[in-house]
Order: sequence, then C-alpha cells, then structure tokens
Amino acid sequence: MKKNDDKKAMDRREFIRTGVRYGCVSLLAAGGLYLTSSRKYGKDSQHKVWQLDPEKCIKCGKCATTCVLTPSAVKCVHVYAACGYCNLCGGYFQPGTKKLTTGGENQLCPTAAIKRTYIEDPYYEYSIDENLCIGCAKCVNGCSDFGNSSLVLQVRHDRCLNCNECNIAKSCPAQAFTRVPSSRPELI
Amino acid sequence: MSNRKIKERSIQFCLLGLPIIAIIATLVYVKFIADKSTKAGNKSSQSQVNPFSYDISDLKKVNSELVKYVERGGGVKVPLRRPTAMTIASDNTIYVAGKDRVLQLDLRGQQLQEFAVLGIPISVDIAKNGDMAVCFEEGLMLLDKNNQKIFDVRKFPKNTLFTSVAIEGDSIYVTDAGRRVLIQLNRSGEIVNEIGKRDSDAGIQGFIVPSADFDVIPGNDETVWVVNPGIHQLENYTYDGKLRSSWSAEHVGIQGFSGCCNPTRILLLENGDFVTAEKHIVRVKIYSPTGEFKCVVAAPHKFEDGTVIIDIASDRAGNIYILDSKSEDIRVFEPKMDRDEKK
Ligand code: SF4
Ligand code: SF4
Ligand code: SF4
Repeated sequence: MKKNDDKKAMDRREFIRTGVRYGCVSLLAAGGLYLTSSRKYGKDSQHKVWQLDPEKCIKCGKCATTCVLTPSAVKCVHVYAACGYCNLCGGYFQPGTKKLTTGGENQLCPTAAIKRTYIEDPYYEYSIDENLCIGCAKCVNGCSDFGNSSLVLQVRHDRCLNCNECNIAKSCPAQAFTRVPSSRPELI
Repeated sequence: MSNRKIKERSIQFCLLGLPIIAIIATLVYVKFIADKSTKAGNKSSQSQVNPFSYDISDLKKVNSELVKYVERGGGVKVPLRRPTAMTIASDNTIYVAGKDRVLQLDLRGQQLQEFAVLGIPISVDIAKNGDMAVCFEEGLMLLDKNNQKIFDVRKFPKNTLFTSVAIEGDSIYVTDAGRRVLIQLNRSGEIVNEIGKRDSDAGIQGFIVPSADFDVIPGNDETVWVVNPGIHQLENYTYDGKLRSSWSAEHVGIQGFSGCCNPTRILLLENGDFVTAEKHIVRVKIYSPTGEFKCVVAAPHKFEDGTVIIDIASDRAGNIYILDSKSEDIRVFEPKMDRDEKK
C-alpha cells in the first residue's frame, strides 16, 4: 500500500514538474515573440518621441484627421529664419486673392490660426496660434507653392501623448514619421 | 510508453499546454494579423479625399492660343554637370557656366572656348566688346575676350549675396540680395555706387528681396533693368542711380506675377519686349516694353515638377533659350510662324 502511495505521490510531482516545464518553454516563446514584435514597432525607444520630417511630408491632410487627439498634436510651425516676411504670403492668402487684407475671405487657414503683424512697409510677420491650428497643412502647401517653405508641420510635444503606435505614423502615405531623441525633438 | 502514461501526458498537455498555445495564438493575432488589417484599412483610407486639399492646378492651365512659341526638338546639350548660369553674347554664341569654368558654345552646342574661373558662378554677362563678367555669391570677376583677367574681387561688405550681373557701358552692375541693393562697379572692380536704397524723396521704395532671386540686365541705353521681386516690379535705373521708369504686373493669372520673388529672370529683346521666367508656377512669358502681357513662350506643363529655370537668353533670330535645372540642358523655343508668314 505504502509503495503504491509513494508511486502516486511521485506521479503527481512528476505531473506538476512536466507541466511547469511545458509552461516555461511556452512562456519563453511567447515572451520572445512579444519582444520581437514590440521592437519592430519601436517600443524599446524609451527616450524617443514621434516627429515628422518636413522634407518627406507631402501635406496630405492626415495629420489633422488621424491623430488620436482633437485637435491634432501636429501643428504648423513657422521657421522665421527662412521667411521673406512678404506682404503677399502664399501661406496666409488664398491663391488668387485680389485684396491683401486680413479679411477672413482672403485667408487660406480654415481656422484663422495664422496671425499677421505689420512690421514696416511692406513687411509682415506671421505667427501661429497653436490653440487654433489643426495641422491641416493648407498653409504649408501655400507657402511651398508660392513662398520660401518657411511654414512646416511638427508634432508638438507639449500636446502629443507619445502613443506607442502613433496613429498618424501608421497612416502617413509619405512615411514621414519617425522616432527622434526627446533631447532633440524637432526636425526643422 | 504505457497507455496510462500516454493518458497522463495528454491530460497535462490539455491542462497547461493548450491554454499557453491559445495565449501565443492571441498574441500573434493581435500583433500581426490585426495589425495587417489595420494597415489595409489605413491604405484604403489613404485614397480618401483630403478635406483640406490645396489645388492650384487651374492656375497652371494656359489657353493654347496664348502660346506663341514652339519647342525645337533636341535643344542644346550642355557639356558640363550642374550648369548654374547662361547667356548669349551679341556674336550669337552661348556662354554657360558651372563649377570652376565657363564654356563658350556655338548655337548647336559645339564648344569654342573654355574659361577657368575659381568657384561656382551665379551669373554671367558678356559686354558688346567681348568682356565677360562672372559673379559668385560673394565675388566678382571681369575677363577680357582674350581670357585675360581684368579684376577678380572676392572681398565685399558683410552679408553680401550676389545673384546677378550685367555689364552696361563702362560699368558692371551686380544685384546683392543680402544687402538688397544694386552695386555699380568700375572696370577696376571698385564700388562706385549703391543703387536702389529706400529713398522716399526720390520715389524709391527700395528693393524687397525675400529670397535669392534678384535679377539685373543691361538696358541697351546706359541703363539697367532690375527686378524688385517682393512687389513684382521691373525698375529701370540710369547709370547714375536714378529711377527712370518701372512697371509691375501683380496678378495670379497668366497675365501677371504671383508669389514670392517673381519674375526670377528677365531678358530684353531687340524690339524692347521683355521675356520673363517665373518660379512656383514655372512659365516663361513676353511683356511689351511698358509691361502689357503679350504671350506665352513656355507654359507650366512644359516643365517637370520641381524645375527651376536657371537662366534665359535669346539669339539674333528671336529664339528663346531656357536653361532647365531638370534636364541640365538648354531648351530652345522658336516663335510660331503665323498663317500669313507660312503662305
Ligand atoms: S500624414 Fe504624413 S504626409 Fe500627411 S501631412 Fe502628416 S506628415 Fe505630411
Ligand atoms: S492652415 Fe492648417 S496647418 Fe496652417 S495654421 Fe491653419 S490650421 Fe494650422
Ligand atoms: S503619437 Fe499620438 S498624440 Fe502624438 S501625434 Fe501621434 S497619434 Fe497624435
């Protein structure tokens, strides 16, 4: 009887040992798989943030429509060093505008986020109200088609949630999104 | 293995192995299959219409009746890489410049002469006597027709950024986009005047130069024509710096100039008409001596996306030569003969 009990006890131990063996192997495999896939999608980049490369951006409008935030964390940024301060700014005015005045009907921006400040005849400074900007890139298009390309889109990190998988990056037709070090978060 | 052992292993597998396989399968599904389908969804959404689209294609359309020139097949092959400037001298030879050299070609592209210059020329002009002025971003050189250096000055005031050069009479004129002035030099390379500075009393608004497109050409009568690109205006200055006349054509349509810094290049024909080249909506047009739009030489559809017209010139027959940044060759446009001429 005792012998039989011992055998039973041993079988139970062996049963558990073998089960744990199976479990460990499977968990290792699952862990490896998960890590590989995470690496592929950039989860290992602890000190990295999302940014878009204006050189690659084709101004498709998706930055305004696919960010998980409303309005988008992508905003228009003005590179003042590249600006001509023109009275006839292609990023500010609708193409074909006859009157170069601040009337809403003349402005290209759908949310009136671009402010124009008179400096001296005929120079104006253009600045972006980021609370109004939705990152639609209309002005970026206008500035590159008629100006010096001084208006560009950038992810603003005071708003961006730094999602593991940036929704805009997934749908960007130009693959303009990339991970950059948080110490140098801009690509301009 | 006994039947009992097989049974036990099966139970072990069912109790521990299967749930783990299920977990792995779920992870694989979430990471790869679901992801793929999201991507597919995104792809289909890529074809969605952009609610913020910006379309200027209508502005690029040109009524074919306005086009009075036709491109001659072949053009002129330029025997150097990345040409940066071009002109046609009064002897009907082409001068084309690239890094460290200027080549003289006949109208078929045969090389006649080579001039060594140190640096990347931005603009070249040939005087009636054969002197050649070559300007660099921060330097200016004058050579005689025998390839002898008259002067080579590389030191100019801070912020100098030369963009174009013209020789007229005894003076050499250079546009400086950095300091927004037209500089006049004598044949010794000394600055004798700075023209076009803002002067309300003389009615001079000053040059508005938002980018490095700021052209000057000789005016055939001891004057020069300069583009004031920020206000789409052509201004005519006498040799002593007085503003004699000007005309502008502010319009987004074919009849005018729009955007920043147009026209980028100008040219004066023998009959006094102006040829103008533009950027953004890339096109070449002709205006009367007083600035009325006359016709189109090359419509926007003649240029590949991203083309820059590096320079324009004309020969004695009135053909227009366009140095195209994409092909890096000279494209030639001949006046279309009208019906009466053809008969
Ligand atoms: S989604 Fe990409 S291409 Fe489109 S506007 Fe944003 S960065 Fe540019
Ligand atoms: S046009 Fe679009 S991108 Fe530009 S400022 Fe307005 S909302 Fe922002
Ligand atoms: S990471 Fe998230 S919040 Fe930031 S831009 Fe992308 S989708 Fe928007």
